[in-house]
Order: sequence, then C-alpha cells, then structure tokens
Amino acid sequence: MILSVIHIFLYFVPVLLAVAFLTLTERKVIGYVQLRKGPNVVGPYGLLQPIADGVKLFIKEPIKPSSSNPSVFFFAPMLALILALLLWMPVPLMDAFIELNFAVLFVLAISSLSVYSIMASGWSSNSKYALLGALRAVAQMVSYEVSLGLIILSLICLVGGFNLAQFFSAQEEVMLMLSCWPLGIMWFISTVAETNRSPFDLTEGESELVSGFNVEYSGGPFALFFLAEYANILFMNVLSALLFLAAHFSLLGVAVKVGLLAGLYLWFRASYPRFRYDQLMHLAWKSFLPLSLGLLMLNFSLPLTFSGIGGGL
Amino acid sequence: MASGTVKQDLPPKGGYGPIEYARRLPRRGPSGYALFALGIGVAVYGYAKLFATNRRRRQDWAEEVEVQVSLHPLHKAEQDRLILRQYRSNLEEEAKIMEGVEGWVVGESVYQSEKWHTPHPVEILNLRPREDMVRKVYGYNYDI
Amino acid sequence: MLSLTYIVGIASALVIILLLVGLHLPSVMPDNEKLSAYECGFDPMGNARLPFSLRFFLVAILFLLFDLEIALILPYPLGVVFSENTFYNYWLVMLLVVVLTFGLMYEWLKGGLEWTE
Repeated sequence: MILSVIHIFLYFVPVLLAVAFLTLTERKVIGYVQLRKGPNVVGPYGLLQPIADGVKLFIKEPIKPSSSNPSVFFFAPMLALILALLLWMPVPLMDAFIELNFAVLFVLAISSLSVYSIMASGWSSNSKYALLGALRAVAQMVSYEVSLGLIILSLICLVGGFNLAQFFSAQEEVMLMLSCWPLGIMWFISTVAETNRSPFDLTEGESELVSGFNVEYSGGPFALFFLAEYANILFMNVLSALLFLAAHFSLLGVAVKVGLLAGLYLWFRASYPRFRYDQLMHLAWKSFLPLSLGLLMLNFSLPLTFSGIGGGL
Repeated sequence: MASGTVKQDLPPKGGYGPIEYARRLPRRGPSGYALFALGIGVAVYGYAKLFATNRRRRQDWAEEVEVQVSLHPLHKAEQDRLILRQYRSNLEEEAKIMEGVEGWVVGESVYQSEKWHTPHPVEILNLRPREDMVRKVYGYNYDI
Repeated sequence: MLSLTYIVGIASALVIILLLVGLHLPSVMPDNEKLSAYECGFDPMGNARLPFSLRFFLVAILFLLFDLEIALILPYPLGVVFSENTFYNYWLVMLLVVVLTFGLMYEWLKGGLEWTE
C-alpha cells in the first residue's frame, strides 16, 4: 500500500513539475516573440522562476471575501486541481497508470466535470465580475465540449473502441492526422477554447473582467486554479498528440510532438487578439458543430463502405 | 522670437509625389482547386492505409479469439481438476478440524441434489487466507 | 481496492494538503478593505446575484441536447465492431444524427443561435 502511494506520487509530481516549467516556458517564449527575453533573473536562464512563483503564491495571504460562501469558495479550486490530476491517469504514455477500457469516455466526463469548478468559484465569490466571468466561461467551455465529443466519436468509429491503446495500434502505419486533418484542426482549436486559452480567454480577460472568475482568489487557492489550468493545457496537448499524431513509438517522439503542440498554444497566445464573445459562440455553434456533424456522418459511413471498421486490440 | 529663421518641418518644394495605396496582394502559390485536391488526396491516402491497418487488426483479433476457442476445453478441464483438488484438500482439512465434534458428518453436502455446479471461489477457498480468493476473482484480467 | 479509488484519494489528499498549507502558512490579517468584493476600487453596489441572461440558458439547453445525442451515439462504434447487422445500426444512428441536424437547422434559421452572446 505504501508502495502504491509512492507509485502514485511518482506520477503526480512530474506532472506538477512539468506544469510549473510550462509556465516558465510560456513566459520565455512569449518574451522572445515580443523581441525581449523572458524572466532570466531568478536562476540561470530563469529556471528557478517557477519555484519562486510557487513560494510567492503560497506565502501570500489567502483572502476569504466577507460576502462569499466559504465552503464552496475553497472547494472550487480543490475540485479543479483534483480533476486536472485525475485526467492524467489513463493516458498511456508508454504505460498507463490505470488501463481503462473506456479511457476516452473517462476523459470526456472529467473535462465536463471541471466546468463545475469554474461555476462554483464564480458563484461563490459573490461579486458581479466573478459571476459574469464564470457564466461566460461555462457557456464557452460547454459549447466547445460538444464539438470535442463529436470529433472523438468520429475517431472512435475509425479506430474501433474507446481504449486509448487502440489508438496506438490503429496508427501503426500512418497518423490519423493524415486522413482526418479537418478533424484534427477542429479538435486542436476546440481544445484551445476548452482550456480558456488565448485567443479564447475572455473569461480571464485582463482588460475587461480583471481575471474573471479568479478575481476574488489570492495566494494558495489561486495557485491551485493556476496549476489546474496549465495541467489541463498540457493534458490536452498530450491527448492531441496521442489521438492524431501517433505519439507512442518512442519517448523522444512523444516529447517532441507534445512540445510542438504546446509551442503552438504559446504561439497562439503571443500572436492573436482575443475573440469577441459572439464570434466565439458563432465558431462553436455555427462552424464547428455542423462541420463535425458532417464529418461524423462521413467517418461513420466510410469504414462501412470500404470494409475498414476498426477492431481488436 | 525671430520670424523667418525658425526651422520647421515642411513638405519639400513641389509637394509630395503620388502615394500608392492600392492593395497589391501577390497571386502566387497553388490555386484553390489544387489545395483541395491535395487535401483530399492526402485524406484518401490516409484512409486507405488506415482501413488496411484496421483489416489486419481485425484478422489478428479473430486469430486470437480462435486460439482461445480452440483451447477452451483443455483450459476448462484443467480448472475442473484444480477445483476437485481443492475440494479434496478442503475435505481433509474439515476432517482434521471437526475431529471430535459429535454429530458431524465430514463432507456432508448442504444441498439436496447431487447436481454438479462450478463453485464460486468463495465457496472453495474459504479455508485459505483471503488474498487467495481475491487473487482468484480479480487477479487475471483478460487482455490478450 | 480499485486503483482509481487510491488515485482519487491520494489526489484529494495532496490537494487538501496544498490548500491547507496555503491557508495556514501565511499570516492572515483581515482588513475591511481587503475582504470586500472587488469592484475596481469602489464599494460594491447592489447585490451580486444577478439575474442571468436568457441566452446562457439557451446555450445550456442546446448543450444538453447535443450532449445527449453524443451519449446516445456512444455505443455505436463498439456495436459496429461486434455486430452482424451493421447496416441496420448504421441507418438508425444516421436517422438520429439527421433528426438532430434538422433541429439545429431550425434553431439557426429561427435565430436561436443569433446573439448567442
């Protein structure tokens, strides 16, 4: 039992470390895009910056606003980080921690649950800005989850099951990105929107909502939200690499592909201005949804027509 | 303030030349039709390879299932032998435990019919430590 | 116990420990200004529980419908792999998708998606 606890920690701690260094990478990359260096003061090349950030956040005073509901207020960041860590468990990077036969369903379900943490944080903060930010964030995440689910359905029919290991054996000769490149592009953009990331980051819009549903949080709870968001980003990148880019042959291949996708996320943040909210909703309901429905029909009928139904292990 | 000697930033003599403000986007690169053809061609190639891979996977899976089906009688016979061995060992242990107890018939069946039923691991492994039963029930997960 | 139970338990324990460290390590000196809700420096005016706009409700209902459609289509890929009357299943699922597409089309034309915020 002690051994299994240590085993679990050996999965959680590298995830959290990766998340911490992703924040540093983001600031450095955005800095270089803007022709300046990112943080390079704290350690050599700024490598101790995430540790400094963590220490700063945890020694800041955690404010519990006088008009908030305390139990929900402190439960929301807990829920967010627990779900973000839980999402990583069925991912078969070489070897999954738990081999779920329905890993894809698990991932979809947990992503849907993480909407609750945003709703809870916005509502319990009892501040108009937080509530508005939370409502908008929830509507955005929920809209893009529909296209996420439909794209996953198409892929599952091509591959033959919900097990993530089946995606490995289905992509032994060619990546799924070759055949399903419209789906891949739509999936990637939907994951950018799902994790409330630029250019879809209205909910954290600094100019209009001052950090949205996060506005009343400070210190420890804010650090938990922050970690949860970046852990979600990294997980979505890993999932995209697994689903579309056949990232399983070697650890170096996985790392390079995930790194490229994460770099794309950072590139998006550095280059694009924010979407307007109705443009965002238009994209979700009027562009992605009909297109993914159509591609769903295509991907359901093509394997039947050409006897290429997926199956087996 | 002197009036004619201040240096000002004035346009050159005769005004500026004509300013080109028309959009001049270069029309280069593959045409729309070519891009469509490229995309659809890549997709068709990918689908063809994917369906071939799927066919091979299904054949491999069918072969695994055939292997299991053909070995099933042998496997079942082995399991039955193990069960009977476990029953024999249970009987001996029961005789040892209930040695001096009055009115106890060793090996008396609690059922009224003589029909054979494959026992659940709980029934036959009840004299062994609990891990044995847990391992028998949850230990082997099918995964070819 | 299932591995998943362990994982949820350990993750919860880790997160609770982090939260408790974050709440008890710093010195908490509450001040009336610090504890009031944020409204760009002013005192908050009015109740924060706004009545929310109807468009959010519409988005939520649409999401509900399409998520239920996804949930109804979920068994289909597994069914395709293991069934012998595949074309019957296929046409049923296509019927479902087509009916929902008509629903989406109707909603679009009637303006339900219009100022979806």
